[in-house]
This record gives sequence, structure tokens and C-alpha cells, in this order.
Amino acid sequence: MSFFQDVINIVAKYYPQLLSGVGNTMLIALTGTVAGLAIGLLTGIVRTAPFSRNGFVRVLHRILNAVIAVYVEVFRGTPMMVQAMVIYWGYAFASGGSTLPLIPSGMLIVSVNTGAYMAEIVRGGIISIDKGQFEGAMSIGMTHSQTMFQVIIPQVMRNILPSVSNEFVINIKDTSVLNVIGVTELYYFAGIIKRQSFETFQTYLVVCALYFVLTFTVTRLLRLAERRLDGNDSYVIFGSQSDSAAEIHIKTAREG
Amino acid sequence: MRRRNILALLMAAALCLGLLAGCGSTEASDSTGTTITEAATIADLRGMKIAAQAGTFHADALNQIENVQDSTYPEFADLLTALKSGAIDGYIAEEPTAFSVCQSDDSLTFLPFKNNETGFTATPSDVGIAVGLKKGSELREEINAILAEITPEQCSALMEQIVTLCSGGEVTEFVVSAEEPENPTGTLRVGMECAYEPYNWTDISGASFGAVPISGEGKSGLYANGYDVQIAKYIAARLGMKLEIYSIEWDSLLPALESGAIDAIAAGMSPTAERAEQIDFTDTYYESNLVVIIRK
Repeated sequence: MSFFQDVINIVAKYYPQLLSGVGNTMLIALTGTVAGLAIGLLTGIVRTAPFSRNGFVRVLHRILNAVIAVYVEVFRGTPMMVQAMVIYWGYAFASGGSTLPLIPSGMLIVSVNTGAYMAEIVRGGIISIDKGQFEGAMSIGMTHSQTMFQVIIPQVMRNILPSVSNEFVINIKDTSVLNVIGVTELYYFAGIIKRQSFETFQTYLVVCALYFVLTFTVTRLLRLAERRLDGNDSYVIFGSQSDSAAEIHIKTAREG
Repeated sequence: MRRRNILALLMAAALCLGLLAGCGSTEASDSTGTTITEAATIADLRGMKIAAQAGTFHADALNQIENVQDSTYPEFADLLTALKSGAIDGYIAEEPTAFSVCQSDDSLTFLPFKNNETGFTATPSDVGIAVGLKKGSELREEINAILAEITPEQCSALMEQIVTLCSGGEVTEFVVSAEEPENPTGTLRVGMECAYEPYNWTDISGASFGAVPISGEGKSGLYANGYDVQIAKYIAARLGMKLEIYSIEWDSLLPALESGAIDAIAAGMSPTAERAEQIDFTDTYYESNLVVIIRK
């Protein structure tokens, strides 16, 4: 039973460090995912937009597309641990010795890395929307940006939510690589605790459980959000097709 | 039904644990039949499973053992885990490290080899440790002058105190210490792993005697202490400067120094020829024997 006693002792002795590690891990993973999604939406919209007739804007658009393509390929094609080292120490060399603050640079690294994946996720989400919807929107006189923001993106957001929650879970786990530059996330503290207690297995067992609690909670919460976005399973739409002033009502099964 | 499922799961878990426990360690012995605990020279270690930390002189020294089944691990603490799990028969460490490890874990002991006699062939640049400075740094001569005043006896005495301290003993005054300057003329930023007892370690719950707070964001409440810290403290005080300690991963120490993020490295680092191509080193401030840590 001394094994379980060791595990309990680690939790009891080091819980302030473990909690602060959990806090930093979640902070970096959350901001990284949200900022990454923003980057993904932006690049996704730019890349799926039709080319302008104006020659100058068209050239600019093509350059932007090329930049995005390079960004996606480079950041998707290299390990985040390597990116962390290159960005962090690259900045230190470039600035002649000043280093970026650790936690914000952790957020930056996770954001640009996630952004590269999100760019592809959002692009996939946009092109998966039926072509008929673009045609329908165009036939009632909507511009491309109106179609995008009022018709397509709301559906894209719902459709890519499972992939976004996937990225979030990956980010929670992958913040652990930021320990190479010394970011005080959960894995960093695990290393310190391991070296102090000389109980490697017990320490990582505790940390393993903590990571699982974090990721499981997040997946459950996002699943809940998905269900909220889906709304009710059955509903009836009623209103008048001949009277334009008549309101359209959506009657859910529960109310009925 | 559900209860039966849980029961089955528990049984499966118990089975797994049982299997793990079954993989017990077997006594190491070489072809001649002598066990590792009786090894008097490194020749007695032939054919055994010995490990060392990757990227260190220890890893090169492994090849001096005949027919060794060598393996390397990225982090020093992993070697201890490997030894205790039975994956290896022993690992190469420096004498002070071996003292501190064996004092905090009574299932371990070490083979007290002497360099160039019973143990590994090594030069001072292999097993000595020195302060690393940026190429052409003006601090080099000044620090050498300060280090020259510390006698080898004082070095050993300080190391003994440090080992006592990190294995939970009391120390009230260090053999090598100087008054901190009241009006420091500048800041000396020193980098180390803070993860290599007894040279440098991190105090996570309260500072030990003489510990220095670790600088940098998110590091509040963490303290550094150890042989390197006390030497750095002495050097900074004698230079009339304020000391700041930065905890930096081993692989990042050289880029940190070269980019100017820190002014010096004091991390139990040996002044090897490869490293000396990129940075300058002061004279050594400790030289130790390489020993092998084993299970009793």
C-alpha cells in the first residue's frame, strides 16, 4: 500500500504547484484554440473568396493565398516543440538578448500552430456546404460576403465544432512540449516534482490523471454545446406563404 | 449487469498490476560470475547493462567498459528510474551526485571508482566543471582570479556541505561565502538547469539554507540551490554584482548564453573541446570522480 501512500503524498505536498500548472496549461490551451480558430476562419474566408475583377486586388489576393499556403504547410509540417525552440531563441538572438515573456510566448506558439490546422478545418467546412446554397443566395441577390457571414459561416461553425473540440483536447496535451523553453505548465512542474521526490512513476500517474480530467471535462462540455446548437430534434415550421407580413413560426415538439 | 462489468474491469486491472510486479529484476552478473556489487574496477563491469545521460562525457565513457550493453537517457533523473525499474544494472554519475542519490534512497549504493586508476580514463576538461561565458567576455579574467582563491580543500568541504543539505541535513554557514554588496554595480544573470543534484536543484516548497529565488515569469516561489548556486553567489558578490538565477533546460543553455539572455552558465558543465568552440570557459571550480550507481 506504500505505493498509493506515495501518490497521496505527492498530491498533498505539491498541490499548489500542480494546480498552478493546470491553470497555465488550460490558459495556454484555451487562448491557443480560440486564437487558432480566429486565424483559421480568417484564412478560410480569404482562400475560398472568388477573385476580384479588379487587377490590383486580384494580385494582392493571390499573394495572400500564397502566404497562407506557406504558413499552413510550414506550421503543420514541423513539430511544435521545434517551433517553440526556434521562435523563442530566434527572438532572443534577433533582439540581442531580450527574451519573450514565457506564458505569452507559449500562447503565441500554440496559436500559430493551431491556426495552421484550423485553416484547413475551416476550409474543409466551407467547401463541404452544398453548392446550391451559394447559388440560392446569389439568386436572391446576396453578395459573396453576405452569403459567407449570414448563410455559410453559421453552418460551418456547427459542422467544424467536433474538429475544434478535437484541437482543443490536442492543445491541452501538447502544451506539455512547451517545457523545453521553460513555460511553467503542468508537465514542467511534473519534471520538478519528479526530480525532488525521486518518484517518477507516481508523479506521472498523478499528472496523467490530471490531464485526463482536463480533456474529459472539455470534450463533455463541447459535446453539450453541440447539442445546444442542434436545437430540438423535431419541429414544425408554419406561417403564410401568400401573406408576406405573416410571421414564420417554429413550433417545437415539446411545446406542441 | 453493470456491477459485473466493473468487477471484470477491476480483475483485469489487478491482473495487469500482477504482471508488472512479476517482471522483477534479476541479479546482474557477468560471464565470470562475479556480481556487480563486487566490481573493483571498470573491467569487472564487462558485458553489463550500464547507462549514462545522453550528450555528456559520461555517455562517451561508457565505451571504456568492455562489451558494455550501453544505453543513454535524455534526462539524468530518468537514469534513476531505469535503475530502480531493473532496466539497467547501473549508471555513470559523478561522485557528489552518487553521494546525494544514495543518501536519499537506501536501496542504492555506488562503486567508488577513482579516475585514471580503478575507474574511467578522464582529463580535467572531461570531469571538471567550469563557468561558461560568451566568447571574448571580459569577465573571464576577473572570475578566474576569484576562483583561484578557492582551494581544492574548500571545494571538497563545500561539496560535502551541499550534499548534507540536499539530503535533508543542517548547514549553518558555507565554507565559501562572501557578503552580498550593498550597492551592486550591475546584475550577473546565471543560467543552470536547476535539476542536477547536488550541483543545482529547485526548491519547490520553501527555500533551503542559502537558496536564491529563481528569476523569470511564472517562477515565483521556486528557489535554486546547490554547489553551482553557491559558487555563482560567491562570484557575483566578489564582483560587486547582484545575482539572478535563471532555470534553463540543458539544451537551451548555450543558445541562452550566445543570444545574451544570460551572462554566464554555472550548471555543472564540463569545458569540453566541442563546447569551447562556441563559448569561453573559466578555470574549473570542481573536479570529480566518475562512479557507477547500482542497486544494493
